Amino acid sequence: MGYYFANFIFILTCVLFGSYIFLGLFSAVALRKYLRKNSYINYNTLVLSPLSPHVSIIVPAYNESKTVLDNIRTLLSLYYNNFEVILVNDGSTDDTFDLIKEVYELDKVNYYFDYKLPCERIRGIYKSKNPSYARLMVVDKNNGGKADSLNAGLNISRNSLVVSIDADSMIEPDSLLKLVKPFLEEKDKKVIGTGGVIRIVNSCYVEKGFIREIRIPEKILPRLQVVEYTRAFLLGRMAWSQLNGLMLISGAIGMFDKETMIKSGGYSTKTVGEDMELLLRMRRFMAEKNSEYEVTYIPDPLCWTEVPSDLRSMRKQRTRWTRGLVESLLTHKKLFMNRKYKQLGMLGYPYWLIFEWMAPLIAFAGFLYTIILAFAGLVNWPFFILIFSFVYFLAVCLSIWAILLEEITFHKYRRKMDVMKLIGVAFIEPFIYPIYTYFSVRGNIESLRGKKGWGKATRNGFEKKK
Amino acid sequence: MKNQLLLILLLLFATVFQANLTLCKPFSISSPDTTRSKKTEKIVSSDNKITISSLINLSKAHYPIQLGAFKRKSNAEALYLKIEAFFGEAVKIIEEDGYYKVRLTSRNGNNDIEYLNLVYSSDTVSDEKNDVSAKPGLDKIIVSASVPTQIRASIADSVQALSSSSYKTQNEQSAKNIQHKFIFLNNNSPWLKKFNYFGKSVALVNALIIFITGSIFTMILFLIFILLNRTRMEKEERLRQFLLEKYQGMIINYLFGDNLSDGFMTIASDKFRRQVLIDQMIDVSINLKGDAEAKLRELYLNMGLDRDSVKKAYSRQWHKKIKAFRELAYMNIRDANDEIYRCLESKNEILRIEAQIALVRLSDDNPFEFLNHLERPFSLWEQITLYELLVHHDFKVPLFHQFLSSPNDTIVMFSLRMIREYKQLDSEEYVLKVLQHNNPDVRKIAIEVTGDMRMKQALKILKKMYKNENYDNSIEILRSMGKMPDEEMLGFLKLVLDKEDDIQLQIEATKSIENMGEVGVKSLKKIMESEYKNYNIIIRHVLDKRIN
Repeated sequence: MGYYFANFIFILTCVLFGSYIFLGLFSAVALRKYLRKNSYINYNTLVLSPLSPHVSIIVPAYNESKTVLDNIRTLLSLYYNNFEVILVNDGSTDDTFDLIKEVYELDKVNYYFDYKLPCERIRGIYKSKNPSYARLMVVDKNNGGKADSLNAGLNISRNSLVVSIDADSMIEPDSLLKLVKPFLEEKDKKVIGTGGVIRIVNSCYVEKGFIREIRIPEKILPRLQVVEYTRAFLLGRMAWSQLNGLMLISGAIGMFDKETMIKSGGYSTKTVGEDMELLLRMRRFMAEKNSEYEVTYIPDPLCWTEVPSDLRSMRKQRTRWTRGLVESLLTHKKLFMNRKYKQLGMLGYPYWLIFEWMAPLIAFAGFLYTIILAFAGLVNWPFFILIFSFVYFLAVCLSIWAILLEEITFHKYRRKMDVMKLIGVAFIEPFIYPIYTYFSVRGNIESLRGKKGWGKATRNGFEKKK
Repeated sequence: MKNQLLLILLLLFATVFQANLTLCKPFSISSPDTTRSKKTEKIVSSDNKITISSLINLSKAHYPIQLGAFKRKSNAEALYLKIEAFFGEAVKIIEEDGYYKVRLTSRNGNNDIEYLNLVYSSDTVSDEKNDVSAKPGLDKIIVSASVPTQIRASIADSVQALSSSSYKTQNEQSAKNIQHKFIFLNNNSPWLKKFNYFGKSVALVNALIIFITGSIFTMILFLIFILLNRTRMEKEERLRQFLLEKYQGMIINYLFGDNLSDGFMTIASDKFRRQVLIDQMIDVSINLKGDAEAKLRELYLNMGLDRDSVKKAYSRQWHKKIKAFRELAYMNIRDANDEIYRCLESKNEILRIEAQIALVRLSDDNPFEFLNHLERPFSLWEQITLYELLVHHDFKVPLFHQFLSSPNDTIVMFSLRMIREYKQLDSEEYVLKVLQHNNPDVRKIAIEVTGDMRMKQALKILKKMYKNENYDNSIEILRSMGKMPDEEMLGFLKLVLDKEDDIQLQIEATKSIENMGEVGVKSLKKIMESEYKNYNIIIRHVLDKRIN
């Protein structure tokens, strides 16, 4: 039994690495093509054009008093002409709403709307008395969670394109220009969603909601996540989007076709992975309607977010991600190996099921098994070292590949020392993997127990001393 | 605390979960069937050695004792023949896991059994005669001490023989093959004996070593590339900046000073510098007009840079074509127009746009003439780009109604938009015709344009259309009616407010009523007073000036 288990894990690992290498190669080619094309695109033509489409940005906020003002300031100064910002205060218990109300001189308006998507009661809709903030609309509602707030925003929005962003994220000034472009291209397929790269803001020098200097995080945990995010976004998602198998547009930033969103039922309030669940549902909806569709991906860094800097917060975040993943995959189990859904059913779903959900659990079992057998004195240590080296060096190699791609494409970390630090972290990162698997196991356990909700997140705020 | 301990433990074993590959198989005693395997594992588990008492128990319990495992059947048979003389039927050859195993299947009596050796733990070998380790192709051997000395010697001899002469001759070719197959290790390698857990894992071990070496090598390459690339990029950027500034000065001196073109000739010999010079010429030409522009063009032609651009225009690489189209368009050179026309139908949107821009720039009379030939859909992105080009440059704007009969719907949509943006009021008659277009998306733009351009003649048509239009177009009709308020429409709009259930339609109808001014507002207030239906909330929304 143990023999087969060991072989199974080994084969799984080899397939996983094989797929990483394939996705990495694929993504490198796609990135090169994208960057070359991008260098000839003048996004400024969109900035003031009367022909550019109207966009609603929905920002759910729950107890975000530390970051919300900076966030609104950043959003209102985006380079785009036709957009509105709908900030949804999800019954915050701190002074989030009072702060916004005071700073932006809010006044309740007689806004009439339809509850096309179910959401908690909306207590009031506010607009600023100051015409400079005419783009801003604030929705005050009873607490119902992030998905519920996004649904409320969708009910209020009057535009055909919707951007959902997290209140703790800072979006790049030109992000709307880049996100909207795929929707303007004439294609045989309808674009239903576009996502972009998320970067880590910890330790960056931020002033009044704008990043003045990009720095590598000082603490080790956020620094490790820089490598992880770079790898995931530049290698993984880029390739999946090329295969039309993208299953997730990060909740931090994503643009969607509102009509498809509403027709497929909006955000689900029953899961904490509402971003993944929504995209799966939208894709299912389009496939079941036999409509050709596409989910696109922009490899440009569009958004900056604060990541957990201590294990406790990280555990909460990762367990929540796992719960979201499990819930989304179980909700849409119909997709599994279902030809009707093409790449999504035959490739994307099985990959996520095996390598994103199951693999950490199997790995965890492997760790425990190793520990037990090591104590029993049954480990053939030379062979152990050989296997260890195989996994370790391949993992480091993939991380350095991702850093290299970042270096030759977007080149965000200008200081040589920062890149060296990233490389250093790539060597440490494989040792942290068991922690991630542990969080994943906990997430699965919580999911089995039926735990709901987001848990309390700790925010430090964006402002950092120079 | 428990969690932290677990985490520390896990940390220690990071990334090595595969290592348990090495842990599972029992060493040398084979179980007769799978149900006994657990017992066997228990006996073996304490150490690499099997105790004498364990073997006695095994013997009593009729566990088989494996005397040898061979890859080749002939070798197994050779050993079998030697031993069979003493044990008779108790000796058997079985095939298992790709090996031919010689086993003593049942023994009676309480003879002492001495564990002699585990083949691959060469450091534990004591009995020289029984030291049958390190023989290629031989996996593991246990020889019972109860076997008479004669037989023991015989086993050892036979194995020795197999390993030295007969084995060598029989397997020479095979060994060579293996050595050829694997780069790093062959069966004889002492390293392999250390690592070789599966017994048949030469390929695996070699593959792992290849992967590890490959990863380290690739990693080092990546690291070097990262460092060198950064230095190269910085250096190239500095040089480019320096050259751009230098060439800009030279061009300005040439255009407005007394400098001759001689200085430029030396630049033309270097490919990189020539490209920087062309880029700088394009940059400067954007702000030039008249004589200066002509002089710059002359310099460009005199240096033969046009040949570079034309050559690039016919390149297979799309990004080179784009560069060339830009250069040719700015320098007004039409030698590659056929290629530019060809690229109008390219699958590559960026190339298509650049071809369109180049044709607009290179055309004297009708810059949008190419629209008559365009078969591919003309995307909104392309439309926006061309519109911006028109806005920011002094091109002759054509009468866009000439394209309203185009079979390409996207061209019709673009033309409608341009009619609106350039307020081409003479096109009203043509726009009204488009209201009957087959494509609802085209009709939608036409409805928008009638409203934006206050084409009052369209009102009656719009009213007629309302009933049969889709949701989006219905909303657009109501909006357009609001943009060109007419009291004649009041009854129709009130009807929409009353009969429609959709909030958005009701709001648009109410807005249109409100846009009629005093009459409209009065009418709305009257509706608010009536208690027939609760319209108050909609009307309050429409009348709230902070919202819209």
